[in-house]
Amino acid sequence: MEYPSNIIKELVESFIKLPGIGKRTALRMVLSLLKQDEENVKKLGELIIKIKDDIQFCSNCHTIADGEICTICSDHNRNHKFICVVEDHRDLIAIENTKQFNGLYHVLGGVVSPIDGIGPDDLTIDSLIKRINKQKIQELVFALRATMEGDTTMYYVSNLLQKNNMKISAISRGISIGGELEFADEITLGRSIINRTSYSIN
Amino acid sequence: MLFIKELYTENFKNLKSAKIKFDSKYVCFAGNNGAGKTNLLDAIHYLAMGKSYFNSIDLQNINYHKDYFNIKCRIEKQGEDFDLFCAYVKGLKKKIKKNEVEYERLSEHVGQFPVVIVTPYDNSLITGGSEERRRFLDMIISQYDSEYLESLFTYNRILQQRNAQLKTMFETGQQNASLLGIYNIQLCEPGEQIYRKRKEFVKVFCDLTLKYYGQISNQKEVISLNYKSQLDDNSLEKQLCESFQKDFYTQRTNVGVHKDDLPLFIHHVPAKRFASQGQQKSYLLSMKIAQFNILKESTQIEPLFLLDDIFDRLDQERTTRLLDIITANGFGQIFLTDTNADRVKKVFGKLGKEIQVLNISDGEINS
Repeated sequence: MEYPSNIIKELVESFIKLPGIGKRTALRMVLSLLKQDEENVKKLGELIIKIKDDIQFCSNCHTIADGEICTICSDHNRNHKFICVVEDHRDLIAIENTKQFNGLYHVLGGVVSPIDGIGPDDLTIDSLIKRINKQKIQELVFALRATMEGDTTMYYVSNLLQKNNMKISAISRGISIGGELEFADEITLGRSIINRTSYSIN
Repeated sequence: MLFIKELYTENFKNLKSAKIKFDSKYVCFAGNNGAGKTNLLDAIHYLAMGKSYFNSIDLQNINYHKDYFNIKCRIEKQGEDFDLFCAYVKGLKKKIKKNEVEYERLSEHVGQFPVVIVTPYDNSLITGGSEERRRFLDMIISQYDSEYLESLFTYNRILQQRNAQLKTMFETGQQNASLLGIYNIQLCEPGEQIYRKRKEFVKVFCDLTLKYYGQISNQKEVISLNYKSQLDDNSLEKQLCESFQKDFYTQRTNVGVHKDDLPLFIHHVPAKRFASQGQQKSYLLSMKIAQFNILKESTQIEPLFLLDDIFDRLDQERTTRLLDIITANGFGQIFLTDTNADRVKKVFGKLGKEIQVLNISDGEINS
């Protein structure tokens, strides 16, 4: 594509690097910025600079934080002995939105997958083990993707914690809430039957 | 039973636009080399399985200089007629339809119209490495057992990860036995399941193959085939632990069901090296007829039987006995190819069976 301005061109090329953005969308975004109030655009620019300058990763759980410790880890109303292990920040936000979890998190930064060049040392597993020992964590729940790589990671970490004698669990997998059985794939449905939960009327 | 009543092809491989009506249970495509006989069999295979038996690259299945191919057929299944349609246009996704309704996934179609094909290329099943025979077993078992397919998929995925980890460990010189141990545990469940199911299947399969080989060779030759796996000796978990050092230095997994084989013997020596061409072909045909029977048992439908170059390498007696087997009760519609129309007519005449012979030349049917 040819652009009448080099600034526009460079901006478009920068936007293309963002996930899900193509040339046309990038151009639309840039042209839209051009139309907006100067104040808005300046604020956006400042925020973008701040994202690298001011945002840090929590030294405790590795999630995004404004300071050294994130708002979740510094919240005294939460259960500091209970950790939910997630892959990345998006998963943390998803679980946080359920409002069902009152413990702390630990962001691994991925799952073990040697094919993609990701070994245990590339994740924050070491820091998790240290944290568990130091802070006397009592319970762990894994909320990782339901793939073989997710399982590998879970087994690996659990194996390292064998001596700790702590409660370790994983989020359940199966039929989605409000889902029709006929639309569930065979593997999911099959597993749901094998791992059925007991049900009783009190 | 399955019965193809009509076949239509357009630009499929070297076939020009052709519409063929079949009125017999036995059909022969006759013609010279390069006429398009095998391509007609492949067109039938394509409609049944949603892909070519010979070439998975659809772009290369289009007639040279053309932009698309279409294949259609009307097929009767248990008394009901179905219209099958496959089309591929350059650069687009291929389409497969049954009764004008397009499938969302190819896997929904596969298995509805079972088919068994034998071609001279299949000789690699006898002469090739163990991988060929594993693929053959996997292909048959996964057609009736989706759990097996899932185990196979999981097993291969873990194996890939384990091998990648071994490679990394070798390159960095750091042995992470703990992670490897996790992969060992993860491999065991699908591995043991694959082993169990293959063993179960091969038991039935071997008996059938022996039976048909006996019939084709007139009980003159003794063959034996047996499933061989490292898991016969010991549990997978134990063997994986033991081979850790070897795995580390070779940078791959040396034990597991990916090393399984189905060695084929004739008179107690390997058929690969000691069987004659005709004996190898007899072996291959016995295995394919065994496959036919297992497929029939699991689907409750007699599959279509496609035989490419049927008289190739077999003597007259064996050919007659082969045709005796496959024209008996329990077999369905059969399509075969040969270079000599008269020969086929004569052989079927002797059997007292009627055969429809179609002459093919330059990708066209001569009526």
